[in-house]
Amino acid sequence: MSDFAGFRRPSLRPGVRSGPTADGGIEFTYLDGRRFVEFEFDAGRAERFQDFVAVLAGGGLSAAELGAAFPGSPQEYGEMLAALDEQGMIAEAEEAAEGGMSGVSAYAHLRRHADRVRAEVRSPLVEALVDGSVTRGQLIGYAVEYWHITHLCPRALAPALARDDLGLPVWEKLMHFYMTERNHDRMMEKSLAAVGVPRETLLRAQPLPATMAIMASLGVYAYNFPLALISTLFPMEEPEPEFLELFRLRCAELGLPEGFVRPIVSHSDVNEDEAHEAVSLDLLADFPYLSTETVRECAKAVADVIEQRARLDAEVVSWYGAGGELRDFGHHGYPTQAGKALTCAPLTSLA
Amino acid sequence: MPVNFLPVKPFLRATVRIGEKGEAELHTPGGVLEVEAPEGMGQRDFLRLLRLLDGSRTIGDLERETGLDGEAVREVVEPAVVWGLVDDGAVPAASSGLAVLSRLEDVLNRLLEDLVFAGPFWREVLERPETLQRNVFFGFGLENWFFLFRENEFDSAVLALAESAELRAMLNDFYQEEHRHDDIVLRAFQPLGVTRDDLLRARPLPTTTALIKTLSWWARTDPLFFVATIGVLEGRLDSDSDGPDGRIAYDSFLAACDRIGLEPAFVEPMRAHARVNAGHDHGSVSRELFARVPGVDAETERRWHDKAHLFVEAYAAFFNGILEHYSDPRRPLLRTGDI
Repeated sequence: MSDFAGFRRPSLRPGVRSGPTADGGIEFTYLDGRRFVEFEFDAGRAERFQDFVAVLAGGGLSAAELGAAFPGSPQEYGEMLAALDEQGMIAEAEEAAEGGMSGVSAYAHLRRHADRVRAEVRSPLVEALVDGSVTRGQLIGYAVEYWHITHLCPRALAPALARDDLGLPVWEKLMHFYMTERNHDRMMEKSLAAVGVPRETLLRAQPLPATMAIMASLGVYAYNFPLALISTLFPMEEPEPEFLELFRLRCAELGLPEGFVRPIVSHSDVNEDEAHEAVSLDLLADFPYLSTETVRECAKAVADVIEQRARLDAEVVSWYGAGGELRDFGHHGYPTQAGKALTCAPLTSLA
Repeated sequence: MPVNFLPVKPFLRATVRIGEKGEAELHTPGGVLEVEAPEGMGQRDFLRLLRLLDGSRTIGDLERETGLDGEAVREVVEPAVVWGLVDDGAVPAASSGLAVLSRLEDVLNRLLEDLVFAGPFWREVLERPETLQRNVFFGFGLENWFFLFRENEFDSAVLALAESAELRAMLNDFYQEEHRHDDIVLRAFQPLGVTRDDLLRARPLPTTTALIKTLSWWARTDPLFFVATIGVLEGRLDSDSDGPDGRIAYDSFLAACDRIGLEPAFVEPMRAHARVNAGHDHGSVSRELFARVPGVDAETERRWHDKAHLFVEAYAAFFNGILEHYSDPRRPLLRTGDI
């Protein structure tokens, strides 16, 4: 009876007809008589079997209760249900889903979870901006990594557009979001051109490991777990006005040109104007149900992206602060000292 | 993208308290947030509004009960939704995985009767196997081999299913159980003089490729729908029970082989494969998996019913394509290129 191992309330499938046969048995027909099965009973037991069939059709009993209500041996019970099932005549009557929550509740849950995670991480880059120890190289390095994110973004999002299990409204919103994210790297290129880093150079550069990890995570979610992609959009897209204010201040102090700062601020403004941080909510609101485990996995993804972003801030400080320049290893070789600062210094503990 | 989401009946996921200086505080499991009334709204109205966000009142109700206009209500509610402090308090709307699979089975059962068992391949095999070209039987074996050979393409695509650890583990077990099933069937082709090398040079019928690629695409883009098809592909109706007119399901292929006395050297490896699947109870895989699916929403279920038609069309074409191609004894058993 392994077929029914997971059935909570096995029942006769709606649409299956049953009726007495001439010799006191019961026949079952399904699909206009193309599926058919008949049972014969000892004369004294026919009525009790008819009662059982009515109970089976009602679908009101649990699997255990149904077994107990069967007027024959457990072996006969197994044989009868297996014979009915072979003709496709058995269905699950338990309609209720397990646990879970609406997409809007899931968003609220994720958002509160994100706030708790944020309280636990620190950003060495923000600290360097606050205490004024940030260098010109680190500020440019931040812009380079920001360029990598915008440059990789369409590739990270695109796999979600192939999914066919999200519903049309969600697909259309993802397509719209994809379109708005295209060419954002061009804005960052203007910024970097102002400090002498042309597009061709950027195209040869490798991102920092944390930048890669963030974009790889989003990309893999897009392929394999689009709900986690949707969930991680808000921690990626939230405006950071205090950060930008400090960024502008330190850029001015270090003599970085306005042409470098302006596009970065503009990109942030675009995200804010287009309410990119609300994309997660807008998309999740289209899901009437998410399982508890799904939301838990999305929460892990959100927490992870927040931690990866903190790591990225740390990596910007250590790589670009230790003499690491643009990561074009093909042309310039590998600066081992900066690599050691990046990978061997105790970055792991950001708390 | 405009923020167009506003819950029908906003529900504040925090307790409203008044701080020492009369300020409004929202107490959440994650901490305390101090919140201020928007410009132009009195503190009393603000607090009253917050306390009425209990998931039982619409925006209209809130306007009436507070005397605030809709814009003022939205000015409080909208940002609170974005911050994750207010949701719709809605009961999630979904059906159990098995209830949804049961209804899908109903659609599939009917389509199997209409398109597969009533189709030319199965009618001939079940009713007049002795009139068929022997190549049809061999072709069935060969096209099944192509399917099994490429089964990794779709089975592998769900190995990393993200939403459920238990489903993921079961799908990995299933993958292992299916692995190298093509090799079991391979032995059937020895009496035909067809080697593994010959098969590697050959290509399947377009109807076989269509089924393989369609399943592979769904495994990647709608994994749970793919999971729902496994029960059909692995032959839930694989017993030897007879219907009223003697028609039976998949292993009736073996019965037909026996009936016309086809070479045991071809038939027995095919039977061995059927036996292995029955031993693993592979016909129940969809049910075993869906018993672990906590819920499926109505729109998803509707889409699956639509897709079920496409699936059974491809499945019927897989069988009927075999009859069409292999009925002509002038055609070689294998279609190979020059490369």
